[in-house]
Amino acid sequence: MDWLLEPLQFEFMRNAFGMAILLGILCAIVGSYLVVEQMSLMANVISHAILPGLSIAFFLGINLSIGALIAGVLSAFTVAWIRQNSPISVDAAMGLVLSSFLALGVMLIELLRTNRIDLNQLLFGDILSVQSQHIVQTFFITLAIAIIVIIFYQPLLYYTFDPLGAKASGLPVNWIYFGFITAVTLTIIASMQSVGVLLVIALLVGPASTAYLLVKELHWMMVGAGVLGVFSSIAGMYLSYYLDLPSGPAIVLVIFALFWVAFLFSPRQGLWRKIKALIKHQ
Amino acid sequence: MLVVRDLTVHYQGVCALERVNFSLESGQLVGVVGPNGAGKSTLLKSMLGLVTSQRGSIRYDGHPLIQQRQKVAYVPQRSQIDWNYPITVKNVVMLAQMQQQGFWQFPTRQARQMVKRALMQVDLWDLRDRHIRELSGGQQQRVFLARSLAQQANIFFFDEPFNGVDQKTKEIFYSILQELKEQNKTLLIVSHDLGDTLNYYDQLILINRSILATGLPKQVLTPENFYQAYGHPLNLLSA
Ligand SMILES: Nc1ncnc2c1ncn2[C@@H]1O[C@H](COP(=O)(O)OP(=O)(O)O)[C@@H](O)[C@H]1O
Ligand SMILES: [Mg+2]
Repeated sequence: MDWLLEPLQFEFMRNAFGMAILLGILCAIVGSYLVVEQMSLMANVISHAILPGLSIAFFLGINLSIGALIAGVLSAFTVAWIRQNSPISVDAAMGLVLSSFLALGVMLIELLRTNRIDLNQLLFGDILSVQSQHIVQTFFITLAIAIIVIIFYQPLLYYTFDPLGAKASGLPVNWIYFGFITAVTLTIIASMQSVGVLLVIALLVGPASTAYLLVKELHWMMVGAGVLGVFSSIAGMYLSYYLDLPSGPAIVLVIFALFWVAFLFSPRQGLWRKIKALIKHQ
Repeated sequence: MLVVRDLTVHYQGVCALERVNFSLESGQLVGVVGPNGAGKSTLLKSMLGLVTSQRGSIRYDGHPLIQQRQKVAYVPQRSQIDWNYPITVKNVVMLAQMQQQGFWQFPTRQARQMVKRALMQVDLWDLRDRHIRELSGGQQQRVFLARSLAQQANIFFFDEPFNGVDQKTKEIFYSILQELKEQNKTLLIVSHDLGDTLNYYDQLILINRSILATGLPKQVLTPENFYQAYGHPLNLLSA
């Protein structure tokens, strides 16, 4: 057991440990909604679209997270707005918004001379370099979202399962959408530090998709995704520590390995079960 | 009484409904018929404010329907639902309790009783813990029927409830509709094909963008009207 405890004598490992647990929980909650809403690609759009926000916030000397939050929410609304007012499909709208926000971000970094933003850190993250202030920030984001989801579990279930029915019965669907987008953006901001913009979608979608194959209720999906997410983050962290691998990709590959196990062997919908049934049939 | 006046809906320039006028008496079973793309789903959605209308008013007992949403139970077309969503039969029906108790409440024991009764009525109580994917088309439709019953609404809107359902489901459906009629509810059922069940209806509305005919089933489905709506002469009973 020494190999498990040994890394924890270092502060950076303890920080990484705390971050892994928080992110596992946060991404499980928000990611489960993303998966059932079939909006995973929206997370991808938001994660890239925060760049101009970061650049402007850096230039103005305000908290980077605030700039990122505004830009992320704005991008999601641009997608919704294009969709509602034109026959353009949602994937084309997302492609358009993602690339134009990204281009604007790169342009602003150049123009505002904010190129001290560490792009490498932004793109790939590093869970072994998180500081305690990030953990505190992530703790409060996780706490707030968890409380909101517990209080509003029923209306959120209604809205995500049957949006038309929910709207017909008078739920404030536009506010719910706004809240949802804000939660996704906050989650991305919190995770960016650890796995980076390019891989944050894996943390959101991976454990939730694996759990989706294993359970039949939304709240169990969240619990399952939480367990898988925490486990994957910690396992990836140890792999990174002992094998000297980049931490973000290590975490993502553990997530993906677990997904494959469920995909092949899930008792309800596993591929292996289907193949066995097929063979037996013949 | 539910009164629809001058209802007009455009989708990005395309006219889906034009100056639709009709009224529904409570205690009557009313069917909306018309070919695919006639605007039947649009009619229900615009009455509930789910799509914006360019013109028109919808009033129930003299007040705008939109302010009385808690009195309406709406069952969308089966194709609008994601049947892979992680939810069980019982919890779909449980969603109805929000209409009664407010949106931010957890289900009370009374609500659970109501859910149980609704599921018994549609003969799905034994399947209550199944995932909704693991049901037949008819059973899936009955889950939503149960939810609408648990809502304890005054007004019921059903969109294509008989698409691809079995005989048993049809029978349960019509016997429940009969009970609702006796309880003086307002009932509106949309279908592109009412088949051999036309004589259950007190009133039919034949629609294709605008209302072509309305009245007793016999008066509405004349060969001329039918031809005008569907564009081809056909056996009335198997549209
Ligand atoms: N969201 C939408 N955007 C644009 N056109 C639509 C939309 N929904 C329906 N339509 C069009 O409006 C017409 C009526 O559709 P609908 O109400 O679904 O018909 P029905 O339910 O009678 O089959 C159709 O021509 C359809 O293509
Ligand atoms: Mg329709």
